[in-house]
Amino acid sequence: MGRLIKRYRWAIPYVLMAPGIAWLAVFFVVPNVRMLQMSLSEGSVERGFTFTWDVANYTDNVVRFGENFQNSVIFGGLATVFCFLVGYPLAYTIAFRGGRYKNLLLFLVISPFFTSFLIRTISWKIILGDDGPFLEIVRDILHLVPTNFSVLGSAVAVVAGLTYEFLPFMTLPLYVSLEKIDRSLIEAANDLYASRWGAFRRVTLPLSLPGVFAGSLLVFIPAIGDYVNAELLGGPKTQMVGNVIQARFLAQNDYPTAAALAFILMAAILVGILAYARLLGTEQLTGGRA
Amino acid sequence: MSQRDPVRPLSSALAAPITRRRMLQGSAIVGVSAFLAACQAQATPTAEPTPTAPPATPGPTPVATPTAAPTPEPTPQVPTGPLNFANWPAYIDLNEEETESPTLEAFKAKYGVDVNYVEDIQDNESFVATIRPQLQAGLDTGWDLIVLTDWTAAKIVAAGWTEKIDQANVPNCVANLRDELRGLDWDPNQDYHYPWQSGATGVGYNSTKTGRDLTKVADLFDPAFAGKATLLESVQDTFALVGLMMKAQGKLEHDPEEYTLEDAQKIHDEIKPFVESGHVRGFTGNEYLQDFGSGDTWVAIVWSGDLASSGGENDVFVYPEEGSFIWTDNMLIPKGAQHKYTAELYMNFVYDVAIAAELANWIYYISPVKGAGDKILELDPSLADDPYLASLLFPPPEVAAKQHTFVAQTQDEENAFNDLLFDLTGQ
Amino acid sequence: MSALAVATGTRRGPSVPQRTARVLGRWTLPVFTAVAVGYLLLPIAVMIVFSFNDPPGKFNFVWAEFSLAAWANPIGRPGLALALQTSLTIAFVSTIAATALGTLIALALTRYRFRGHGATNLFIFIPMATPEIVLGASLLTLFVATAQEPFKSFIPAGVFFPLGWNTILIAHIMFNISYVVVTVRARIQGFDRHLEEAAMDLGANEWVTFWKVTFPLILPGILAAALLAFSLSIDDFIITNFASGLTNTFPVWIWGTIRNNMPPQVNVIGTIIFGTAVGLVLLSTLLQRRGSARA
Repeated sequence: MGRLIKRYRWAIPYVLMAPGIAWLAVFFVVPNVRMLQMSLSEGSVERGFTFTWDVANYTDNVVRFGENFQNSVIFGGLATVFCFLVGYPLAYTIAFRGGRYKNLLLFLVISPFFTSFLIRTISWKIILGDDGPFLEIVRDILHLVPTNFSVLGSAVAVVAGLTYEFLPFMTLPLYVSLEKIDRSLIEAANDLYASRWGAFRRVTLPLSLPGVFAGSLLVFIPAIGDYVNAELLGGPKTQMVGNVIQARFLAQNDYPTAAALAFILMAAILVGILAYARLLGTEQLTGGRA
Repeated sequence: MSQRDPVRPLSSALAAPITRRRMLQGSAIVGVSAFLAACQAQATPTAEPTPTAPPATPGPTPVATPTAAPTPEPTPQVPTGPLNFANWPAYIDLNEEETESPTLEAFKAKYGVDVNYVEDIQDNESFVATIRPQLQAGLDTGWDLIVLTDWTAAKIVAAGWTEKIDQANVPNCVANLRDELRGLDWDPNQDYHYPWQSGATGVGYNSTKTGRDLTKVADLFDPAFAGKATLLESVQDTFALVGLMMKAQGKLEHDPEEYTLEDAQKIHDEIKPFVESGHVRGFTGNEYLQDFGSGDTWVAIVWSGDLASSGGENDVFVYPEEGSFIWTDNMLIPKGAQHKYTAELYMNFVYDVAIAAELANWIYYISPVKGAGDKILELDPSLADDPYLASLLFPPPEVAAKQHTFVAQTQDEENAFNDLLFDLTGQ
Repeated sequence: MSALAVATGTRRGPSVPQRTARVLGRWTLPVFTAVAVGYLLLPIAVMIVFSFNDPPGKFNFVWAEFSLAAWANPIGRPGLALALQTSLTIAFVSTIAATALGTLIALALTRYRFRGHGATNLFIFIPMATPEIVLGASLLTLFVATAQEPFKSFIPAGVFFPLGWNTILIAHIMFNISYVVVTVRARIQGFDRHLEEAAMDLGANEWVTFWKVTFPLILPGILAAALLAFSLSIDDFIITNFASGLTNTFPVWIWGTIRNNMPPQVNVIGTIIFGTAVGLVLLSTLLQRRGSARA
């Protein structure tokens, strides 16, 4: 037995990985291959789908649903930026000034995960509704907006919902990377540079970039593909690509269009990630260091 | 349904008194509309055709042949369950606590089967999308009974995706289906469908929010309601109503029965700026009830009975001055249904006049069951003093005179119309 | 805190603007943090408050009056109990399966050098970098295809299509594997290989070493991964919606039901889930504290 193990030692990792990799191969790779094929097909459920290299599914739809793509990229991008703007100070405070409340604060940051995200989004619908508490304060008490002002149905509501939903995804990696920074480095920087802002900009921020990178991806990828926020909080002008993909697949059985849109979305994300990785010079994409 | 139905001017059908023969001559469209016209006169039903089977309904009902003894189950089959029944929201009676449906409970008790009643249908297209792949593959859809509107039901039947109804199992339906709804050209012998309810598409509004009564489709586009309006996510409903408005304003020539792609384009162009400006806050299926509930929607295109049964106190439906849109929703048994016999029993059950009356008087739609009208008035005499609710159950003649239907389209036409709609909904 | 202490040290006679700036500097971040945390908690508070609402109509959107009715009958809506049961069983089964499959991959990736190592890391990463909607849509494309030739002839109906319990489970295991790998891998990378070497030196074979030394050390990582998998599974909506057919999980049930009526029961169940999760975390923290206090 022992000898056998030694002899075929090279095979052990493959044997260990086989079942999991096989599962991913069958239920991740094969479906995507099938979807790629579908995206180049034409037809309907009744007539059947025939694979025709129908590239028009891509070229036509990227134009036809241009506004949806634009919404996705803008809303996803804005949500990422807002998550960063809110999440960075939050993570910074927890990491450097949390003191004895550090664990409590971390717990509060992840507490939204402890309940269904659909219910949380519905809560926003209640809060932001025309008769909801937010407008009651801002419109009826403070008179800051006109009486027929609505938040729901607008891009503002969708971006707010996305920002809310993914804020913890930004905050946690930021916290981890900030927490890792050697405090003596920061003290040295504070001595070296005139202002604390300078010290922050030249030492803390660069050292936390891996967290910024990870956090941005964790927000941007799900946000750009989301449709629940646009569906519950948005209107006809704020529909994202996810809404179209969802509707074409589930409500219209228009699989070729939906499949093509899904691949265009994937391609857009891939390009985005690569460009972003170059920009930040971070190459910890896969994170795997054996 | 490959060919467009020949269109007949509705007015001519409505001008003359309705007779059964006339109905059989008319096309599907005319039949449905005329049915409506007949609704007001239904307190004194015209001559009954000889029923092909005796009604199984016991009890004192105003049906012409109430003397027939209750028949035992026609075939020695055993009901199996649960009956998986997909229906639209706000389409079943509820008890006071709104926890269960008395008529469904009565059905369960009578036949000893369970019913899995699910309000899963928000609009025709998206529901059919969930069962189309199964039907195409010849697999069970999981449903035993579904309810779809004329134009969609016709397509499903034409595709051969429905089970043939054993008429011996539905004596009530055979006897009590209103004449005006018989003999439609997409299923002339009721082999595949029996109507569930009919209703109208019109304008709904929350009178507290609007501060005034609405009377027209054009009121939906009153600048005072900017951002508070929703339209239906269905070409048939939304395009028909907005088209009627445009016709009244002289911007469009045709009635909904005659729409060409050009007309549809014009209607689209009329709506588009209101979407762009945010005046129209959304396109909905039956979930407009949610937006009325939250107060986010003030005015909308809605279906006639919903707000009365499921809306708030001040949510009102109105038949618009420009005209309204009339349709019938039909019970179908999808191909491969596991509990077909139970589904037939249920069809038969709801064609019992008393049950039909109980149902219609809760959901405020127009019952397809002969004599249900009288029964409703008997059950609920106060209706006579409530012209609003009465108008939902029995559309008045001046309303019926202005009602329109949507004709069946070819697939290409339908796709083209839908593309125009999707451009509006952003999907 | 040390940087702060230095910065706010004992310099004398700051001018008024300087003092204002310092007060601002000291309070900006804590106040901001409090507001941000409030933002995160607000919808949860609304959820809890509205579970005690007695809405006049079918929709629990506007506050009406206090009521315990929904709490007295938390699963009193058609389909809700079944949906919860489905959610729990699928989360349970998919967690076990994904944790097993993922842990094996993580072990292979961290303890062996082999051809294709980098490629495997990338392969594990890709599903996590794929938007959920694409994962769901592609699975649906596959499942629908199994109802047609050529798959139809050798895949019996009911396995992948019509959609249902099976397909939800398949999807959940699929999207959970990568998360398990990443979580367990992080734990294994962090531990001291010398412990294993010592055990081997003492004569334990690989098998015994694994179970006596390695496994107990990585167990917290595996448990953390399982917890993550469970919570991802039970809350997933986007992928599940593509794979569920007529079978409802709790999120799918909510999605379907809120269109027709939004009963306070939705909030009650949400509150119960929230309370349970918070309770479990507090409990585990307490246990950990007690454990470390004893050590």
